[in-house]
Amino acid sequence: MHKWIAIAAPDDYAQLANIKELETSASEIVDRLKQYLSDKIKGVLVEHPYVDKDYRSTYYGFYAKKGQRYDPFCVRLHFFNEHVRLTDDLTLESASGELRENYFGYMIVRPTIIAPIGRTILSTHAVQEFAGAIIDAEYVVHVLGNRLVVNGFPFMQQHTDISVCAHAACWGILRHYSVRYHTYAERLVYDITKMAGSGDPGGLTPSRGLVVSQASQVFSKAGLYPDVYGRHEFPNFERLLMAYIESGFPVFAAMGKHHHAISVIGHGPPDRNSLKESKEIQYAWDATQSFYVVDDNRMPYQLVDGLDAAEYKIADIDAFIVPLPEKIFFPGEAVEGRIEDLLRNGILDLDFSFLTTPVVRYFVTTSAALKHYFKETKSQFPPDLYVALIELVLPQFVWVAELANLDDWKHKRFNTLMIFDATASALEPLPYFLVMDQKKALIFDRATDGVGYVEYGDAQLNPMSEFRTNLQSRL
Amino acid sequence: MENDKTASGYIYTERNSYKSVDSKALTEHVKRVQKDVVPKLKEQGEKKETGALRLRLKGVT
Repeated sequence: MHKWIAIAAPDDYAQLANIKELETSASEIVDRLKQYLSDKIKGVLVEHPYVDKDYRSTYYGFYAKKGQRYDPFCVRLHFFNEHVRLTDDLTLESASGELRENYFGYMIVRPTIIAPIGRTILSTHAVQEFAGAIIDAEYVVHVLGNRLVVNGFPFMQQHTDISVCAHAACWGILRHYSVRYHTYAERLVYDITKMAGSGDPGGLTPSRGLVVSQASQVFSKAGLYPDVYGRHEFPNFERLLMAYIESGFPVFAAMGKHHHAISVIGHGPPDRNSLKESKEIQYAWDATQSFYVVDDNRMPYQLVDGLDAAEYKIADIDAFIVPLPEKIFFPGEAVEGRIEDLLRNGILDLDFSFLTTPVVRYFVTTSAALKHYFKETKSQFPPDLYVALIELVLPQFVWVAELANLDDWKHKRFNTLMIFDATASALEPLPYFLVMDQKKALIFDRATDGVGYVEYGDAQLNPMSEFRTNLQSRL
Repeated sequence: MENDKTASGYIYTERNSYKSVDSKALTEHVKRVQKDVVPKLKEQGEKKETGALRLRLKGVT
């Protein structure tokens, strides 16, 4: 069955209640759609029956074993803009542009008695008042013979019995990794419940919750390398969290006071006028102060900041796990420590005195993405420096630090760059590939143990444009 | 300048476009980092997971 529901006003979502398979869940779903979705959505295609792999994993492993009868099929809701309609012969027609350009994603509705919202991938364009940058991947969707795509981050409600918030957060992060990078296998909801379990006390209904170490274990079993940060141990806790988000690594965040886990997957827009003229080091985080999160109790892409008005605030995050790919051995706190040391104490005769109002942003990227950035912005580098950078042998991942004076940072530019080896050991004294000032660059050619200067000569080093390819940005 | 490994483990690169660095200054830099920066990082690493791993999470709606 495929049914089209036209959405002229938010109240039109109430028509979902007329669909038999949605009778029990409609009120919760309609309220959420009315509250969260943008007015760009003008049509909902209802698809039933839909076989959802994640729900089926819990059905085979859990619900089918219960005395209560559970339906094996789900409903899938697809969201479109005003250019799309469904004809009587079940053809999706686009009046303007390609169908895929007018598609905002989907939501699966499970036939469970409570918490019915299953796997959901929504474009940020589907959400009211989104402004920021998120980690995303491209999800392929097949419906009525069409191959559509949507970019987003996975969301689902916890089941409350076979999965809780921590499972939902692990699931979203692992699904992102499996879709974005072919190295990682797809893990279904039931798989994750089993991966987190250790003896399953009281039976396989983990509603007693998970502890952070169990969530960490899920990521390890999935082939990732989780690193755990506690707020009390790291005064720069939020900056580190921001650095990993800007690196494109979704983060599992734990809130002890709320016994709750969420995924942090992006950040809000920085207020570039909020930083002071100061010779003390400031960070991009100081002007951002907000994260986008995926919370299974709410809807995708919730902005969390420091304000008390919200259900919770950033200060409620007590710990986070960043599941890292292999070959990132150098941690964020070591990068920050080295940046601050270099700016305060220098290295050899490099001169950082031109950074009178330093603003720092640091993140991981791949050497491929960094070299692409060098190539695309070749004209901003002195010729000899460009040759050295494009030729430098780098590992798969590097840490990059952009250092700017406040005025240039306000215009999304930076004045000097540092590149750290992400495969360096945390305690290594010289983990650098590049440290530069305005007249010369110190290049550590780690593949050959060579070190030397590249001088710019008469070429001037102009402010460089920010590197912004790790996240889907709507800043 | 003599092209042998300093205490930093680095030699001057053979690339023609590179200028050599002061090996003694680089060695001094390494010594200072080992004294001023490394111990703090080591200490942070050792207490990294303290407390955080025991937080219990269920967040039922």
